[in-house]
Amino acid sequence: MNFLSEKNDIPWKYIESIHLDSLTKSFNGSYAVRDLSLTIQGGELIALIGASGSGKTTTLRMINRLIEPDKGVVLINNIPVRSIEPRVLRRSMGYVIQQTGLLPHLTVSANIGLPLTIAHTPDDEIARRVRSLLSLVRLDPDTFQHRKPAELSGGQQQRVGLARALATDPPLLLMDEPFGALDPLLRRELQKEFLEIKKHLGITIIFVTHDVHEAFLLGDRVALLHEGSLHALGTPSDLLLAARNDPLLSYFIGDTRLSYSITTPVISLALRPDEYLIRADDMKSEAIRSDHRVILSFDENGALHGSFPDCLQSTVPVAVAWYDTTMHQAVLLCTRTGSRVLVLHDDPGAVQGKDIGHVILLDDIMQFLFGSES
Amino acid sequence: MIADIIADISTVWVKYNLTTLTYIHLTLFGTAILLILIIGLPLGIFAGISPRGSLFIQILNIIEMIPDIALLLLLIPITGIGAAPTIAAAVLYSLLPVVRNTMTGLTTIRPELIEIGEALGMTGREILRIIRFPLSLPLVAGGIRTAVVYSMGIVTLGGIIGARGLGAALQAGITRNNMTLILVTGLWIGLLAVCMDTIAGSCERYLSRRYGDQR
Repeated sequence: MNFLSEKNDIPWKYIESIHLDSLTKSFNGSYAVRDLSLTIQGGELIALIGASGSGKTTTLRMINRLIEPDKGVVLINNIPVRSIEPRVLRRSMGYVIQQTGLLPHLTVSANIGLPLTIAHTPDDEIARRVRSLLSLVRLDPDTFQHRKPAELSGGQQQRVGLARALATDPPLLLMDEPFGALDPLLRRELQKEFLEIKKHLGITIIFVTHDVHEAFLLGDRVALLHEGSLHALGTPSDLLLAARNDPLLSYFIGDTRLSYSITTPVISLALRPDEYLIRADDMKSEAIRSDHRVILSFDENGALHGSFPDCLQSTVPVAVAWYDTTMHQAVLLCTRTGSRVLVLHDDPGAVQGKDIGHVILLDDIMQFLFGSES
Repeated sequence: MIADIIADISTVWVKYNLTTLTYIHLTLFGTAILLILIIGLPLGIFAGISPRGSLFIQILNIIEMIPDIALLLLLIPITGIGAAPTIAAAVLYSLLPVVRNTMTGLTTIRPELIEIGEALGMTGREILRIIRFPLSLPLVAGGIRTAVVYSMGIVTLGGIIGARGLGAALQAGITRNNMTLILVTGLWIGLLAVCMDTIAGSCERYLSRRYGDQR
């Protein structure tokens, strides 16, 4: 559909690839981004992770020319973005930020329709588009379209921000810590919803976060930036494996393990052997593939729920990406390497008689993921 | 007792033609406010978007430092006596709050709102029209409210340089030592000023509700 009357100005309708070539940017003499090269495939969600000041946001802003690089080029479909007028370029990509940036004096529908309003789209078309976008981000159009941002919760505001970014049906979405300001529970909820929404979009997404869990959950590939340079790049499972021989990567991922206190006895106390295992999202044995995400759900007593999917029986290699005791949740990642199903447990007796492949103890998982340090 | 007071008031009111003077007074005041808006808002917007904008603020600050009665008298050689210097003084004196607040309003928008405007591909003019100006309205209204209070005072003061209005009646009361006239006119001017301020305050509150940015 053509929602932008000026769409002809934009030299692409979809993204084949985005090349960041030797990007360098310094502020006041110190490097924010240094000789960064990265190729992003069309249709993928790439998560840029890194500590504060690692250059994630600067990189993102160089793509839509909110910041101009000192050196290097950004190429979209091999066209340098520098050659496109910023106004036109930016209208071809959605932009979502942590603070949402909703205009407080405009209603929800006016906020969402803003990119269309400035492109002189007819009002009735805007109204239709706003309703469908509100439904997409799971807000009831009749309830929410006339509200002001101040009348929304943080999560609802973030949904509206996402809807606005999608208003022009852009082939590229830039997201700068969109869930960063939300509390952990809500963040997890929105992340899962976003995964659902993403399935319907099929667009290229560049997602900046400092939350490694978020990156592993959402990202097709994850790029770890360190002091303005690309330190590691790969699928979540690639990075987990690479972390064994990469102290910085291990430190970065290891940090999350500590923050979620994976070794606390909560798990062993609460697990019941007869209530094993997994709630898998749309998993069928033939659907399982490398990097397919499986979410283990625990209830508030720590019991795991759902039935164990056939596809995970013994033959499919899986690695635990992260485990989160506060959320009673774990993410398993199927990997190409290895030949074991890793099951998060610290009592082999508890899973006896269950045909779930090899049982790996928590300590072993720690060793597998992080070397022998734990 | 109360009947006597009312009789006194109505005698003074009719004798000194306070209805006409009120009309003149409000006309002077209205003209001043209109001019303040016509001059002050564009100046404030210019000051808000131009790097040289603070120059206006400096100039207006200097004018503001002149005592109001001195400003009135200083204008007489240029504009003669009567309504013209009164309105000119009211405008000059009240421009500062309007220009300053407009400039402040335009330049203190949350940076992420400007950033989003840019990221959506808005032009500078669209950002001004859709984001910066509407969100500055509560502060602009605050400036106008201050201007209303200033102008009311200066229009009254204009009575001493022949601007007529209620200031003239007050002046007459003082020179003739007519305490009833002084009291009636003084209280009436006070009441009018409170009414104007209340109206301006309601506008300010409305705009704050409509365009305020609760952070």
